[in-house]
Amino acid sequence: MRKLILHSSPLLRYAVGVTLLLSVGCSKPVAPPAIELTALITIPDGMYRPLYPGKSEPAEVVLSGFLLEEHAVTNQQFLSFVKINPRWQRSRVRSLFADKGYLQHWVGDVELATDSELSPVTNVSWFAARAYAEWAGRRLPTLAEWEYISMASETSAYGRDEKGYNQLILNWYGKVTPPIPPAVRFRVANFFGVYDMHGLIWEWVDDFNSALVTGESRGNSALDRNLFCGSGSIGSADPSDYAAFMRFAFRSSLEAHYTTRNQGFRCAADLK
Amino acid sequence: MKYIFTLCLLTSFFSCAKAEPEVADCCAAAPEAADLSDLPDTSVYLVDSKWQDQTAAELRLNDFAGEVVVAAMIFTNCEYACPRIMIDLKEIEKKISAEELAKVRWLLISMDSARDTPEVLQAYAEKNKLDTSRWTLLHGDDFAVRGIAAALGVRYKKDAKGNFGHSNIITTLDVDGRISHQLVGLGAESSPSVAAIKAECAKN
Repeated sequence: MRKLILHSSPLLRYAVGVTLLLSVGCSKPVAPPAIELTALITIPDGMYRPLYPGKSEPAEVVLSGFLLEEHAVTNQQFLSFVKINPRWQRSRVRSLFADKGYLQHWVGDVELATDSELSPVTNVSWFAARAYAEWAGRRLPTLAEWEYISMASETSAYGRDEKGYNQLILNWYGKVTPPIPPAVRFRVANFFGVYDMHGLIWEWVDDFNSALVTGESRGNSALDRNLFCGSGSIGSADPSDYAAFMRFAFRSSLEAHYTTRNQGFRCAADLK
Repeated sequence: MKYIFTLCLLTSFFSCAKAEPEVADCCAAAPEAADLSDLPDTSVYLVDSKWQDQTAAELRLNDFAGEVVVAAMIFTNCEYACPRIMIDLKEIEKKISAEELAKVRWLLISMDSARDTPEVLQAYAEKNKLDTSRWTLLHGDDFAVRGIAAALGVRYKKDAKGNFGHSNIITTLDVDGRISHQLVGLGAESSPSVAAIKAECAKN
């Protein structure tokens, strides 16, 4: 656009200028192609209790407010992304970015399985999730942000203190994953108005690779190494939170190009 | 020209009038950079990110294509592990012949976006007596750092004081940016790393 303005005639420059001004006047920016992104929920500042605070770290961390998509990115949305960005199509993706399972539940490069449009996209790598988020002008949530929102129940921001809350999550963890998960907004929204933090899929976070398990050298290594063994939850801040422990263990087993049939993602964004 | 003007006005009115759901104002195609198309599928240079070296010169990872690269991720405020990585790297350097050294680029990638500015990296290079014709120190933003760490399999975590826990990995890359060898852990027996560097030099 800048080039166009610089090199075009004064009248066209004026026309473009007026158009830009008028566009700003619209409540929603409209630009082709029209992709429907998921609505963003405003999350206020809050306190987050890391499951594995380092030795030198406080037990509670202040988390600045942010925006989070109310549901996971769907197959339909991801399809829009790969149509516009062919290098992220199944047959073309670089193996650095995704393993062979990438989008394997799709019928073809740009063809979804029947009735899967509104299901969360799965079989996506961290690189692919991050590329979508960047393309959408958003980002992946941090681990702290994701875990903070995941603690909420339907009625409170700190649902994990509620009776039966963890059991509900653990029951889901014990279930066999269907080849294609149900549509997003599977269950009622949580306290923040965010859907399906549990019960539908596992989700990528930006710093999934911050769980230190190998080659770690600093003082807290013993604690972090415990992530892989069963006694690890004893060293955590909240031994009762076995569900969070499982998520940490799962993330620590991931590499950025891995895809699994029950892992997808949702985007976040900074508060303006 | 008048038509264009009218068309623009019409378009903007039209777009205002429509009741659109939330629509991306972004979402243009982001194709792979042309000069990356010849890279093999596992080249870490495909993680196309922007960096600055210790002189604040802008560069991309693909600028190192054609050289054998020995890379490690560090942060200069590190008191324990990173000095040890430097010792390990220098031990490896000693075992490489002068002829081979001419083909090798030593890359220190800082994970500390906030503090390791080009100036700080320059000072670190001087303090450690690094020959910057063969050693390059990289500063990038959080997005760039997280991306290359993911490609190299380096795990790291920032703590409340702004320091980092991280894996200690010395990676040898071939001239196309493919991982040839990774030496994991501090003070590890370096001969496999040396052998990998020599082998990559011999190929080119």
